[in-house]
Amino acid sequence: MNADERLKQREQISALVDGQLGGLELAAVVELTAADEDALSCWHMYHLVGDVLRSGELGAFGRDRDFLARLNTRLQLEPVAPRIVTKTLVDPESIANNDQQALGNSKKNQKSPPAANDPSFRWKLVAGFASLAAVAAISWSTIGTLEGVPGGTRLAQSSAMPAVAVSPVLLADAASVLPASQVMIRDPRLDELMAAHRQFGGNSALQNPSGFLRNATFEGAAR
Amino acid sequence: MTDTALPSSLPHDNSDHQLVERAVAGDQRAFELLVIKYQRRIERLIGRMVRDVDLVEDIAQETFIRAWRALHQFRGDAQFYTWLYRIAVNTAKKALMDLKRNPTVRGAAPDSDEEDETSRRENELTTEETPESVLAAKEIAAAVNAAMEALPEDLRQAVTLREIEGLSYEEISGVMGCPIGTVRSRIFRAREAISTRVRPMLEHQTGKRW
Amino acid sequence: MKFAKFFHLALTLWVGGSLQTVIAQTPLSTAPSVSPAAQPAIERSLADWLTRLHEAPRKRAYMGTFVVSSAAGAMASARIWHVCDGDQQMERVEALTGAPRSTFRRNDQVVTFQPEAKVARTEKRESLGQFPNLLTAGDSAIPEFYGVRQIGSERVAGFDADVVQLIPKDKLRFGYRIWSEKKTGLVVKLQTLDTAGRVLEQAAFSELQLDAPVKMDKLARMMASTEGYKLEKPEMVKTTAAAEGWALRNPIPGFQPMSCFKRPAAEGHPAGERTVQWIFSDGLATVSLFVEVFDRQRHLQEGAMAMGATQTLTRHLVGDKGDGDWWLTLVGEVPAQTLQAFAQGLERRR
Repeated sequence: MNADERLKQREQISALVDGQLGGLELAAVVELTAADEDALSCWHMYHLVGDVLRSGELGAFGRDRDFLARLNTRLQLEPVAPRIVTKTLVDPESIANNDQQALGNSKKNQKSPPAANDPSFRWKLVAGFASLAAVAAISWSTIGTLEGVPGGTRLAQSSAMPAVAVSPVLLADAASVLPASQVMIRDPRLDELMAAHRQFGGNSALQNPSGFLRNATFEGAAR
Repeated sequence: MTDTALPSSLPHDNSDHQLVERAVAGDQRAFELLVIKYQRRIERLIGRMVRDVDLVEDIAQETFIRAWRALHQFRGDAQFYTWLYRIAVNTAKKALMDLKRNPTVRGAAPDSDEEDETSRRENELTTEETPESVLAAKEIAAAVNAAMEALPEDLRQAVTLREIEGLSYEEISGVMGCPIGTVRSRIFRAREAISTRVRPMLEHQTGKRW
Repeated sequence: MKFAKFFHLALTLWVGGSLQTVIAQTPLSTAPSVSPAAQPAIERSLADWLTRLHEAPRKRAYMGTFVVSSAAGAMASARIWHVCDGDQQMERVEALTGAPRSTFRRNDQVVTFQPEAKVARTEKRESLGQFPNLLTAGDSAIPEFYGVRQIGSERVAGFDADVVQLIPKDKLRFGYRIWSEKKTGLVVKLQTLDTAGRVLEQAAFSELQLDAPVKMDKLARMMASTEGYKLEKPEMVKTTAAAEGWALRNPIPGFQPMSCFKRPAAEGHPAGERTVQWIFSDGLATVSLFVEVFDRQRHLQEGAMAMGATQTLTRHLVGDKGDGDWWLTLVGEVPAQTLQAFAQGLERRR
């Protein structure tokens, strides 16, 4: 990479430091920091500069680079709880029109949740809760107890799956995880691809009969 | 230059928001960027509560792991650092409680109940601050100061408004009377100029350092 | 309470579709209640077990009710019929949940009827014939990546079953608990376990009749009755990843590429570039990598999601030489970190 490209990259990282990137550019720069040593160092350096400007003594801390490597190793071992997918309510129209606002801070542009008498409201909300129940319950089982976390309710300790009777309380807690402004929306395209995937579940020693039956049983449920 | 705001970094700072969103969605790289951003402050905070150097490091690791696990509970409308700060304090307190029950390990700092980041007595070393690291910090601070003084006025003003006053790009654009693109460029050039002085210093301070 | 009402509503939905009845909940069993004196009469190797499980349907006709449940409690169920006649196997699956649907299979030919839409889809699923090769092939992954342990006996749907656990040897795959009917070896219950040993999903017969009088010619007739139905034959073009310009930088341990297809063009984008589906398997678990051209109108958010044992991940892939902008969707019955490993290893080679 030549000097100009390097500078351009650093300029983007500077913008990222101030939360000025969004959409494609944000994704690209985050990827960059994972792949490029200079990019990550740059992120570190700009924050060091900011910290030191505010409080000179901070230069004494966080000097051990191995800290991050060790943390990464531990994070790799964490069971990756499937996260709730939040659809940023960005208007595709404005993205197409290269709207800086739309590409930038999506929170500012977030539409208020659909009105209760909006015909699509019921479907979205209900679908959201269905997936939420599935996803939240799965994520919850991997968290266990986490005492003292602010705003966190005490989670039921579960080393094995709880009995299927999902209590309303559990769902209520799960529902409180998503701020009201974020609505989960089912993605028909994802459903389509999942169905496509199930068609190929035959590459399994467990296919016959349970694999095939499992896939066939799921199939219509998604339609 | 002292850190006066407690516990958030900058008054209206929402610049984390998108990285946090990505981290919540499971993007570990985004989370790592947040770790790098907050590692210093978290370590300093813990160092005020706990004496043992190794323990500070362990607690800091534990803090970030807990944060990672609990991300799905993070409400997007709150400040990420405030949330992280409380996790750090709770993790440190828990570690200290475990120590009390298990007194074989060296334990708490005398004023371990203090949560306040700012009410530290002057010139008192926290754990982690070895004479070596204090000296290194002074060198870095000196380099940053020198770099700031050498900056052209517009660059210095831009980076000061951003980093010390905590203004947004829009606000800085208003104050300085220039377009946002110019604000972005000035802040970048200021950072680069300062970094140019600091980088050789970090390399010179040997060890597995940044 | 507001949420209780939505909870009830939620339970009547499964993955965005519609359940018509709420099935009485049976708790997901965790560890089997093992009969104390259970000493496995025969010690079987992993290969032996898998062969036994696979061969069992060949020998028997049966019918029953099959229920798939996830840890969240959402369920789907179906009535099934199975018959075997020499080399031919036939199966019929009638959905009991969701929109009405009938699926017929004769060996690797599958026809799916949707009575409400009056659509019948036929496809040849060549992957269904793969099994024996998966085990006998020289580089078979299964014993290298999974251990087997017989952990006891338990009754399922009125039959005594051996309970066998397949234990993954690394964190890149899930484990399984299999209830195999003692006499025939038929799998009567199957649990998929996450990397911490917790049950993600369970598929089981809630009732089962072995040696039921299922008639092959009757099933064959039903399978062929497509009058009044619009016939769909999805055209998938068989290809190779290399031909499509893709490669995996580092293979994921245990996972072999099985096949690669170009999918039918998406609705509304008839002239568009087709999505490539690249399929991997470690012998027990399957992963699909879907790659398509990035479309900023549609591809708005990267994310991870799970449904039962199936994990999904979407990722925006930007060519580093400015050679393209792609959208990646990964789906598989594997831990999310395995999907991430695939995503990180995918490389453009053209």
